[in-house]
Order: sequence, then structure tokens, then C-alpha cells
Amino acid sequence: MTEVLVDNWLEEKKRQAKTAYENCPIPDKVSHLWKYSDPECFEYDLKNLPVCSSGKLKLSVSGNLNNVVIMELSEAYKNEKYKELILKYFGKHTESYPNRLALLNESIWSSGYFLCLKKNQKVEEPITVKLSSDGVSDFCAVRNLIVLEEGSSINLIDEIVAENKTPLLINLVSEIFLDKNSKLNYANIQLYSKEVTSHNFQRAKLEEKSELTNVFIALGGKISKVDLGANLSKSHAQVTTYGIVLGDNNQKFDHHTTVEHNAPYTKSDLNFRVALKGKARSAYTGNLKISHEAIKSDAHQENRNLLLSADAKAESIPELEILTNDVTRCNHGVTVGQIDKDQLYYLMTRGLEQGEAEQIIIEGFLEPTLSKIPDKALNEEVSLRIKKKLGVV
Amino acid sequence: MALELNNEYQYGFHDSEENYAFKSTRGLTKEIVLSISKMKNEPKWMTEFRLKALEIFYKKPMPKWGNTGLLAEIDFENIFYYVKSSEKQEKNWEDVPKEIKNTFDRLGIPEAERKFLAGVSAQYESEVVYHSLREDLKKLGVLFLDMDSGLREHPEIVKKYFATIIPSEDNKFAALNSAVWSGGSFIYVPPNTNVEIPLQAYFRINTENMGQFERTLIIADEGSSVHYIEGCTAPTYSSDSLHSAVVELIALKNAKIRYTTIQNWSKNVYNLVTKRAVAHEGAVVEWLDGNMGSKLTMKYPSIYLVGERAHGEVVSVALASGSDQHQDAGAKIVHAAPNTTSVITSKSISRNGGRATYRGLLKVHKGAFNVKSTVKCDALMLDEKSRSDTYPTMEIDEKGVQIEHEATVSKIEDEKLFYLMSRGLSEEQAKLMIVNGFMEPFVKELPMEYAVELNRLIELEMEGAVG
Amino acid sequence: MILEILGEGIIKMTELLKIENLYVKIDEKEILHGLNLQINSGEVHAVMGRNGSGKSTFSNTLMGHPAYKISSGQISFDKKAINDLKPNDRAKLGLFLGFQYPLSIPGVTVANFLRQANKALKGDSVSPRDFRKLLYEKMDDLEIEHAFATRYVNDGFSGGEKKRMEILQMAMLEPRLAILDEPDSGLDIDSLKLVAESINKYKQKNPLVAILLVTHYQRILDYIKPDKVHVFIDGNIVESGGPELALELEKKGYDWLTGKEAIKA
Repeated sequence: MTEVLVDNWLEEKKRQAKTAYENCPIPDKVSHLWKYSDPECFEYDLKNLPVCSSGKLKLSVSGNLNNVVIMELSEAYKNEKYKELILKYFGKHTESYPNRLALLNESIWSSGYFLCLKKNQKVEEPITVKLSSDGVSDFCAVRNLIVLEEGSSINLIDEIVAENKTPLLINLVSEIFLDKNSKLNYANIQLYSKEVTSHNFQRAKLEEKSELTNVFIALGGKISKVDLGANLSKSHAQVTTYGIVLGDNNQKFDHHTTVEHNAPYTKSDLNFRVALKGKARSAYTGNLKISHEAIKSDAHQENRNLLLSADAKAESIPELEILTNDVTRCNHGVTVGQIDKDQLYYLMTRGLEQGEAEQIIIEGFLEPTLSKIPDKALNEEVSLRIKKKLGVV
Repeated sequence: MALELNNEYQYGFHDSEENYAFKSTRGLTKEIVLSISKMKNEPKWMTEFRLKALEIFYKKPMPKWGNTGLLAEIDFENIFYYVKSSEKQEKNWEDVPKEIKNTFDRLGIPEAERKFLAGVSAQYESEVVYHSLREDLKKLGVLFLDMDSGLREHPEIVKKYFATIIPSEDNKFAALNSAVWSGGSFIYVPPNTNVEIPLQAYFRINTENMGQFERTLIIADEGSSVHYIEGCTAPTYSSDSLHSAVVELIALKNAKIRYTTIQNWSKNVYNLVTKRAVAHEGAVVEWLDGNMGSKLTMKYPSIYLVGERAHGEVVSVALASGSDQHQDAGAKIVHAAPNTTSVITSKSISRNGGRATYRGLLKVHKGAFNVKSTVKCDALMLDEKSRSDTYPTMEIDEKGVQIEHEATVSKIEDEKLFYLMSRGLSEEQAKLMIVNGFMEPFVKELPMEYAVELNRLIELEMEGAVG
Repeated sequence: MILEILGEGIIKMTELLKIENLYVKIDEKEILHGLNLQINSGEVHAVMGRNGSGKSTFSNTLMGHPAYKISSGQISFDKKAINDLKPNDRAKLGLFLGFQYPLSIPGVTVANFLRQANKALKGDSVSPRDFRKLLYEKMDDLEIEHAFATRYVNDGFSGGEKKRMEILQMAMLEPRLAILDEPDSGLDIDSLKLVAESINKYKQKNPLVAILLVTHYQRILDYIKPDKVHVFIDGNIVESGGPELALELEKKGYDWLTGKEAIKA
């Protein structure tokens, strides 16, 4: 296959996606996963784009890049060395989980990265991939593809920054494939200004004994809708998800997680924590499926919501769909409440002001997720941003 | 599949339908609704209410959630919406299949009751009990009638409360019921009156009681209390394949209503019921809802806590047994006033390919501060063919709350079986003991005779669960 | 015949449990490697060993836990092989296992549970009233409040309460061989004494009962005098002796026995 053919394939893929997108109706507001966000918010009229390509985000990468393949996804297409992988994996998840906004992305994407680890490559030091919206306005579609070959492992930090002062719509799709025994420790940090509306669709497929740790931190944005999914397709695969949502003012967060246990001895653990100030609003929908084949699965989900102001609002819809009785563990728990008065009292008896005590409690509430960020400097930066949001610095 | 009434059905009763005094034609038209109302000699407002509901029924779409596949199989055109039941002909006891008779036997159902449950007798012969009960209630000023009589004899109370909790617009099936309702119970308890013995639908059973589209309205006036029990553990054999009831409860200030249901419809029945209660200041409403039978049940007893310090509690249990059964049950609680509390306990068992779904809503409105609510859903799956779903929704609009939700799905643990078997119990006995223990939070709330019957029923259902 | 009375008050001890060359696996991992042991009626045996030495595997295997597979060897009770019997059938023969970690059975009351178990083992001979009377008597012995009869089995019980409840079950179900897996762990000194006294009381009333006491510590043996003490290391008995062996272990620990050959039949 020549470069031209690859290009054609890509163009063809975009064309097909565009047709499919145009034929896919806008979800109605009562349908599953759309009760808490207006589907129109994420729509973009393609006629407004001069060429068939959306705004392009700037990609920068830091860390020791030996043994890591990372480049613009659009470049990777043109590279003889990776075309096979791309043909094999690109669009596979959007095909398996058809969805209008992913189709929109597929027909118009221009930014995003391709990351690949070859067989048995183990990268210890965290790699940071940063996408920033410098100079981009209006709309951009971002597409990432992550492929970890057998036995490889990496700590990956994915920062997406958009400090726009005018409205920006971001449509992000990430496809992740983890081959046998591979391990991805993935931290997603979303740093959007309050002008950004975003839809983030992420799917991961895990082969035998592979492991995904997904740390997801949402601080910014005006309306953020996130759809995270993991398919534990082969035995002993495991996924751990840690989420933080910290909202203030009029921010809206609508997060979904889907974990599918499709093979025996698979394991999932999810801990999603939401703290809301001002008039912020969060809806969290966690879907957990255990198929008939997935015997001896172990699944646990936890969603905790802390309401810090009278006008904050939280929704939680944790769902279980279980098709075998032979599970090792399967449960979920949800709490919604305000700061525990006994905790507050305890801290104040130690001499803390109420405000300080509250801040300590909130930080403690978010700590289990924060501590999972695999990079110390970044951990500190995120902590600082959280402190800022809480109004303590 | 079309739903057939009075056609061949699985238990093989013979119904001499020609003898019915009045039988509407299939399908639902304005004429049918008018004739139902006319036959009952209803006041004009009720006729108009029915007609308006019919329009709503026509317009309302089917629910887009739940078991939409099964729902789509309901053929509204193929249902008789009214049979003048007082004229209903009795079936022959000889025609009742042996296995049903055996079930009655093993459940220890009294003779007269069996005949009623099998649809053989139109009357449950407990007139003596009924009369003495009625005398006692009369002295207290308690009204306990079937809904048709309630409307005739106490139109002012009925008009004041009827359809105020569940308007016809609520959903397609509530609209259907509103258009064609017949039978059900009407209860009014005067202020500061405690009705000590549970009121049972049994005692005033007539054919309309177990009707397809019954309508129940219970009003507990200030400071009063009442416990109503509907249904029973014995299988209810009905050829009517759609059961769609509406039940409204009103607990005024400091009143208490407990409503216990155990449904065990035969497996050809769609059981689509709307049940809702309003609890005013300091009032307590409890739904104890047991679902053992039917093909598809969709039922989510609701409580609107509209007055301060009101308390709501739902205990929902379901047994889904066999691949032809889906129990989609749950609860809905809306906190609309401060200092209100609620507890939802759901227990489901799925076995032999059955599907049990918990669907729930917990809503806290703004201003309903100091709300406490606990939701606990436990699902027990007895084999690898079955399915369990949990779909809870929590919408919290007020910060001063304490909400906890927990759900677990599990099987009978091998270690527990070993523990019990090491004490001499057989595997079957051990499993039954664990299942009974699992259902205990529901069973312990039932009056003794119901508890005994329900345990026996579970035992029967569990038979052959080993191996 | 187990019981032979040889003149007044002299009871000949006969074989009750015999274990020959027993190999046991769990999840394909071999835990017991050719174990031999004989217990005669009326005897008290103590099995001691470190955590993970196979003591619990041993007691669970005796009771017929389905996860523990016998790969070879034989367990006989009353000279009949019981390798393939289910736990309930073993219970019917007179075996009892006091669990190290008793499980909770929510929704099932202690009284209901014991009554059903009693019925399964002895038939429906006792009236509910007599049964309750008997239950309360035994509860009094163990200083268990009567209210526990209506509580759910082990649900929300403290560690000590669970352990006492196991002994209560033993006293109610009257086994011929009581295997007690660490009945002393997690008990304070008063509870330990109470549990030991109840075991002794049961033993005195039923002198032919054999007891297999699995324990970490020598302390309980101050109260319950063993006829024989066995030391478990790596899934085998490496040393057997009289009560003095337990005292020696208390002083010297287990290290001096490590690497010793298993005792052959």
C-alpha cells in the first residue's frame, strides 16, 4: 500500500463517517445518557467550516521518549511504519459503539496524537502529552489513538488545555487498545476555561491480563460531557478508574462510565468523587455490565458527592446489569451529602478555623484520586488548581 | 404475540363467555367508555373524566424505558375493556388443573378461597367475618367499600381526592385505567382513628375486586392509621392478560398508611400498575410490595413527602423465575419538604433464567433540607442463566442532605452452604434457608398467615433448584 | 462397635477417626502431603501449628468442604470411608466443625437455624417448647443472653460471640467428634475460660466424644487437657506427643521442628 492509498483510505473513512453522521439523529432529551445535557450543545454545523477540517490544537510532548512512538495522528497515517497499526485499530471503537458525536469527530478531526509502545517496551518515567488550543476558536475535533503492544507499559499524562476567552466547542475521541500483559497508567487532566463546551468519548479494549488505570480530573469547562468506557474482553484484564469533578459557578458536568466484563476473572474498581460549589451541577451515570461468560468477575463502584453550596446539584445513576451469578464480588455505593459536621467539629477542636477545616475535609475527599496522578510535579499543580478553585490561595 | 382474553389460555379453563350480561367488543372506543360509565350510573364528572383520560391514552406514547420489547407485544385492540362482572359465570372446579389444586393444597389455602382464586367461585365465603368487621368499622366511622360503591355512596369524598395524586396524564397505563377503571377499594379513615386489624381485600371480595383495571383510593385523615393488604400468595389465575391498576394513598397530617401487596399473577399477565402516595406533615407511608408472579411487572410504588417530618418507606421484593418472567420493580421517593426521611429496601431473586430489575428514583427538591434517605438493593442470583439489573437514579437539589445508596449482586456463597451443611442440612435445605433469610426483611413485616404462606410459596418455587 | 464396657467404669477406647496417607489440594495446589492420624472415641487431640501450616485445610477437609479435593488417601469414620460424603452426611454420622471464622446468615434466627439442624440430625422428636428449654439451658452455660436466640446467625456478632455460638451449636447438636478450629482465637481471658468450660462440660457428659482441637496457643490447653498433641508443619504432622509437647512448643517455638520428616502411618 502506498502513501497515497493510505491518504485515500483516510479520506474515504472521513467521507463515510460524514454520511453516517448526517444519517444519525440527534439523541432526544429523554434517552439514556441524555437526560442531563442538552444534545444541541455539542452540535456543530459543518457548513461553518471552510475546509473539511476543524481547528487544530498544538501538540507538545515531554519526558524521555526513547522506545515511545508518539506523533500527530495525521502524520502517523502517512508513515509507512505505522499504517498497518492504524488500519488495524483506527475507528474500531467508534464502530463498536456507534454514536453521533463520535461520527462527527471522525468526519472532521484534525488534531490529536498517535501513541504506540512496541512489544515488551516498558517506560517508567511518565510521558506528558499536552494539547493546547492556542489560536483556535469556535470548534475543534481531536482524535487520539493509543496502542500498547504485548507486555509493554507506560505512565501517560494527557493534558488538554484551552484558555479561550470566547466560546469553543471541543469534540474529543480517544481509542485505546491494550494487548496481552500490557499496562497503561493514564491520567487525563482537563484544563478548560469557562468558555469551553466539550464532549469526550473514550473507549479502551483490554486483552488478557492487561491493566488500565484511568485517572480522570475535570476542573474546567462550561459544559463537559465525558463518556469513558472499558471493555474487559479477555480473562484477568483489569481496569481501575479514579475520577474527580470539582465544579463551581455555573459549570455543568455530565460524566458516564461504562465497564463491561466480557471474560472470566476480570476485575474493575471505580471511585468517582464529585464536589460542587456555587450553582455547579453534576450528573454521574455509572454502568456496570457483567456478561454471562464473565464468571468470577470482581466489580466495585463507588460514587461520592459533596455538595458545598445551597445551589449545587448532583445526580447519580449507578447501574448494574448482571448476567451471571458466578461473580466474586459485584456492588456499588453512592453517597450525597454535605461536609460531615462531626469531622468539622473534630478539626475545629484542634484549633482550625471553620474555613480551613472545610478545606482540609474537601482535600481529603479528593485525595484518593489525586494521589494516583503518576507525576509529582503535576500532582502539585493540580492540587494548587484545586486550592484555587476552593478559594484558599 | 397478541393478548387474548377468553381465548385459549395456558391453564385451560373453559369460559362460557356467551353468558356474560355485557361484554364490550374488543378494542377501546369512546362508545365503550361511555357505556361503562352509563352502566355504572356514574355522575357526569366521572364520565367526563373517563373520556378525557381516553384522549390522553390515545395520545400518550408507550414508555421508552423498561422492557420495551415485551411492552410492544401488548395489543390494545385485542383486549375486552369491560365485562359486567356481577354476571360473570362460574367455572367448574373440575376444570382447574391438578398442579394448581396441588399448589393450593400445599399452601394450605382454605377451600372457599381456593375456588375464588381459581376463578371458580365469584364470592369468597367469609360473609360472617366480613359482616362483623364491617360493624366494627362502621362504629369507628371507617368507610371500606369497593370503589364503585364508594363513588355512589360518598361522591363528595371521592370527587375531592380521586386522581389528585395520579392524574391521567401521568403515563399511558394510568390514562388507560382512568378511562376504563372498575372495582378496587375505597377507604376513608376519620381523624384520630386507628384501624387495628389490617383491612384485606379478601373480606369484601367480589369479582370486581380482582379486576383488570381496578382503582383504589385510601384517605387516612389527620392522626389516623390503617393497614391495607391486597392480593395474596396463592397464584391468581386470570385469563385477563393485562392488569393495570391505579392506587392512590393520601396520608394527611400525622396519619399512617401501610399498604401491603403480594402479587402472584399467572405468567400470562402483564402487571403494569401505578401506585403513589402523598404524605403530609408528620405522616408515614409504607409500601410493602411483593412480586412473585406475572409475565412482566412494572411497578414502582411512589411516595411524595410534601409535609415536614413525613417519612416514607418502601420494601420491595421480587422473585423472577424462569426465562418467561421479568420483574421490573422498585420505588420512587420525592422529598419536597424539610426534615423528611425515607428508606428503600429492595430484595430480588432471579432464578432459572428469570430477570429481576430494580428501578428507582430518589429526588430531593431544593429547600428540602435535612433530608435523610437510605436505599439498599440486594440481588440474589441463583444460577448462571438469570439476570439482575439495578437502575437507581438520585437527583439531589439541596445540600443539607444525607443520602446513601448501596447495591450488591451476589449468589449463594459456597462457604455459607458449607457452613449450613456442616450442621446437617441438605444442600436444598441450606439454599432454602439462605433464600428465606434473604427475604426476611419483607416477610417479618407481614401478618403471620401471609408470612407462612409466602415462605411455603418460596419453598415450592425453590423445589428442584438443586442440581 | 465403638463402645465396649469392660466392667464397671472402664471404657475401652476404640477407633473413631482414621486418616491414612491423606493428600489434599485446593485449586491445584497441594496443601496436605500424606497425613496420618488416628483418633479414638473419648480422646482429646490438639493440633498445633503456625498460620498457613495446613491446619484449617485439615479441619475443612475432614468436614467435606467442596473446595478441598482429596487426591489420595483415606478418611474413615467408624471404620467406614467418608471421603466422598457431603458435609451434611458427615454431620449425620456425628462430625462437627467449629469454624475459625463462622459465617453470618442474615435473616435466619439462631433458634430457627438450630432447630432445623437439630431436626436434620435427629429427626423431629423434640417439641418446640422442649427445644427452647434446652437451648436456653445451653445458652446459660455459655453466658449467652436468651435474646440471641432471635438474632440472625452471627449477623453483627462480635468475634467472641461468634466463637461462643459455635460451642453452643456443638452442645445442641451433640456430635461424636468435635473438630474445633481455633475456638480460642480472638477471645479475651474470660470468654476463653467460658468456652473451655463448656467444652469440658460437654465432654464430661459425653465421655465417648472425641475432640480435635486446632489451635495456635498453648493457653486453651491449660483448661482442656489433651491426650495427644500433634505439630503441623507444611501440611504434615511432624511431631506427636503428650501435653508436655505443647509446653515445649510454647517455650521453643516451631523452628526446631522445621524440616522434620512427616510421621508415617
